[in-house]
Amino acid sequence: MRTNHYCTSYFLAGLISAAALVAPCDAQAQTVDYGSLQSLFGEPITTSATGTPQKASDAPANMTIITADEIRQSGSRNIAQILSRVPGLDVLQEGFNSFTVGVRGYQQLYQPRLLVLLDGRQVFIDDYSRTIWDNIPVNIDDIRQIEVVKGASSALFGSNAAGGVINIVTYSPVYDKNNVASASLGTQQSLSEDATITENGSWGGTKFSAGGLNAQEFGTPRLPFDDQIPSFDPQHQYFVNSSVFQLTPNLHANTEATYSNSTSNSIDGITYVAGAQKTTTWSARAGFDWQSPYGLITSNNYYNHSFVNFFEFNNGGVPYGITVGLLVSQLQDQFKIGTDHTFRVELEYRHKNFTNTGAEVVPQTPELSENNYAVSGTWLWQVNDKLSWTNAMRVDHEQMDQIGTLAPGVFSTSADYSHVNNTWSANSDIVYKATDSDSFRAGYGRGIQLPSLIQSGFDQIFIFDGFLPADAEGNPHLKPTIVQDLGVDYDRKLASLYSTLKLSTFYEYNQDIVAGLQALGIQTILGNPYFSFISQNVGSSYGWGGEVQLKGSHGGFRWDASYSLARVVDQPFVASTVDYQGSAPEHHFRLLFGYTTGPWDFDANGQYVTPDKILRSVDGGVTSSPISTSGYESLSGRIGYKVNDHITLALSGANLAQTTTHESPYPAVERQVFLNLTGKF
Amino acid sequence: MHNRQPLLKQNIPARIYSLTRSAMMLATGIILLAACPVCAATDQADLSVGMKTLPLLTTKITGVATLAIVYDPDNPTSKEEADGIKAVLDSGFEAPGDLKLIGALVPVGNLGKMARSRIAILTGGLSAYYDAISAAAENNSILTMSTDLNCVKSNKCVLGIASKPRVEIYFSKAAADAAKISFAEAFTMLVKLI
Repeated sequence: MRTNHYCTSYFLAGLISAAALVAPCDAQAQTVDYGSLQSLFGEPITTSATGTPQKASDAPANMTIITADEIRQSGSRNIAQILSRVPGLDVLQEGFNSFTVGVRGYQQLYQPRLLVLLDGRQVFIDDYSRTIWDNIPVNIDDIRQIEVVKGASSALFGSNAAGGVINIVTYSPVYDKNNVASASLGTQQSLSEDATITENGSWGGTKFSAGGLNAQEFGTPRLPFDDQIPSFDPQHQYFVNSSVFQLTPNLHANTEATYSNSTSNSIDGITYVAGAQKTTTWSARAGFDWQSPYGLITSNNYYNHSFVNFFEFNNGGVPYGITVGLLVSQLQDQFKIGTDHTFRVELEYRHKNFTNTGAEVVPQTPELSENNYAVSGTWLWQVNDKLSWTNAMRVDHEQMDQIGTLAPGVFSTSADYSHVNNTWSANSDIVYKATDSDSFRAGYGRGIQLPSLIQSGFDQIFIFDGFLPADAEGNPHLKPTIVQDLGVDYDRKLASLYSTLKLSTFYEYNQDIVAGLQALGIQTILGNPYFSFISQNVGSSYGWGGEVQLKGSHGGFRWDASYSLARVVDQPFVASTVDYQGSAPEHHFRLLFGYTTGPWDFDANGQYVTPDKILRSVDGGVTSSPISTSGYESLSGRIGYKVNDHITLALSGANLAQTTTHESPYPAVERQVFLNLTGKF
Repeated sequence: MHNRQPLLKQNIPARIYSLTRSAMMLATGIILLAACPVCAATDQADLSVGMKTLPLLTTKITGVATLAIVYDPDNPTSKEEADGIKAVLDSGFEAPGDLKLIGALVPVGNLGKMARSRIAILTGGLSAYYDAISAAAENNSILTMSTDLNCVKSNKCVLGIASKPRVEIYFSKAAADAAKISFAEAFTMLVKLI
């Protein structure tokens, strides 16, 4: 049976790849000429709303695009900190280089609802279903734009795009010539270096990026128990090579290889105790784009490998390790029928493989395998010059198997793991451009959040916290969380104020929320009693709110003022286990202001977040409870000086408002200041 | 006062004539205004938008290229528009990438001159010559564009250009196929197909 699954899976993967080789293809992030299209239309181009290229102002989604200029002006060298400027996102810093990004009030450590992609490749890790922000292998100076979509987007991007998607788009190796090097030196003894070189011509292009960071962790006090957990110096090294080969004017092949190694100190999203993690990831990708008589056919195939070593229990410093392999093969065709109908159809195969190791008292070799087959489609109907209607749907068929060996007596046996999940997701959005200055969007989304691999298949029998014999198990019978949302947006250009006003409202309903490792009772394994913990579906939750933003520029000045509101109401079991309603910062104010004169740039970003309650364990993870915070204000900024056409010197800072800022019950964050030297050639 | 009444009576036909003439002028104005978007003269912004489409051709135009400016010498408006385009090109117009454009005036009576060009821009007022121009373009695989949207809408030009109030590109696949010209598929997803 297992062999059959493998045969079927790899046969389909091979079929998709072969089809991609003999069929036509194009429109992958790396092969869309974003620069030329943006220059032509005078606004950013995105593929994150429908999968097909669109002007940002036409996108049928609640979308924010952070441009390369805005990234530079932010002064930040960290993607999560850059995201803090987006209304509706809440960025919580847990350590020097450790962050959690929540969307529309649904704040959660190990955020599983926000899918993150780098040039269309998933950098979201399926172990806990989360993004390890400090491990993303990208040079900040090589990012063309960051596209943020709020709301369910699973119909386009698959599971875990349940609350939104972030797509990081870098400069193209074939269309852009980005040669840049930078070095930063700052507080916490931080030193970072990044460089990108690009070589291109009529044959195509290739790009190499590499960089590294070394720093000391914040020295702010930790809880007594937390001090028993090792804390490491934050560090990161990465290397990326991506290439595009123009085989014919209509056929491009692309390859990519990445490696990234990072260390960060964070808070464990299950036990709410301090922890440290050392993460190593690598990936390999190949694909092609063919502009065929049948439309633009794109093949995107990649393999991601991640290994995370966790240090979070008082067990003599022995970590537990999690290995995830992810194979994705996608074949997509985009085409127009007539003048008003654009279609996208896609086949996808996805294989996940998961193992965990650690200081086990009863040896097991669990290995969870998931095969996922999906078909999806998008139909964009340009009804007339003012009205468009977009519909998207995706159907997933997932097969799960436990192909390792489990100890006799554990709660879920291998037979329990052999089952199938069928899910569907959808989006429907109407955009009405009433005038050249006013546009409305109304949309519905149904997203899927699959249980994480840890929640589905973690198995370890160990001595928890040095004294508690514990059996921590995944639960193969978990139901996926279904997220349904409704949103209405209104954009108005205010020419007299050189600004654009954006108003957004949303309502979302979450069904079958999953909570990790809930106490189940005593389980007898090999004649000995163990406290069993297992992931469970814990109920539903709904949230509502909105964002108001006024953003503009004139005469060297730029401004971006926004307010976001998010209210979440959990069912009791959700509130006591995940506690979305407590941890949602209800009100979030932002004011960004900048001015450019001659070679000088001045930028400041002030934020205020109202109080919330965040889960925290004070007893080493045995229990956890919500701890109230008093809210916080933060200030970051940058002063840049362009020495000449190639060299820029900048002084930047984060958390400048106070020496230390208590964003959460986790260790306070320290003020950070650094000097950056950037050369572009 | 005494003279006015007879004068009014005497002028009734003239007033009717005047009103009629005013109404006709108003209607003509409304028609012209309504038609304005499809017949706007090409200015620097339009030219810039048109040239920014060139990097999106699947077969790139690089180096030095001649841009044919097709006009009707018997139509003063067309001639003025052509001279304006030539003046913009001659005054250091910055083309995308490493492309260097040289403008060449091509009167509709001498379309053979188009053969030396890779790109042609048509002024307004050439509808009577669309067939001849498109035939010349097809024979020489020339990318044709115009701010006169009637040209692209009648499938005689490959591109129709509008830079105001926002950039809109109209694309005739029939004209492009006939001239053996193709653009990146991403581009065709962003334009208005004819």
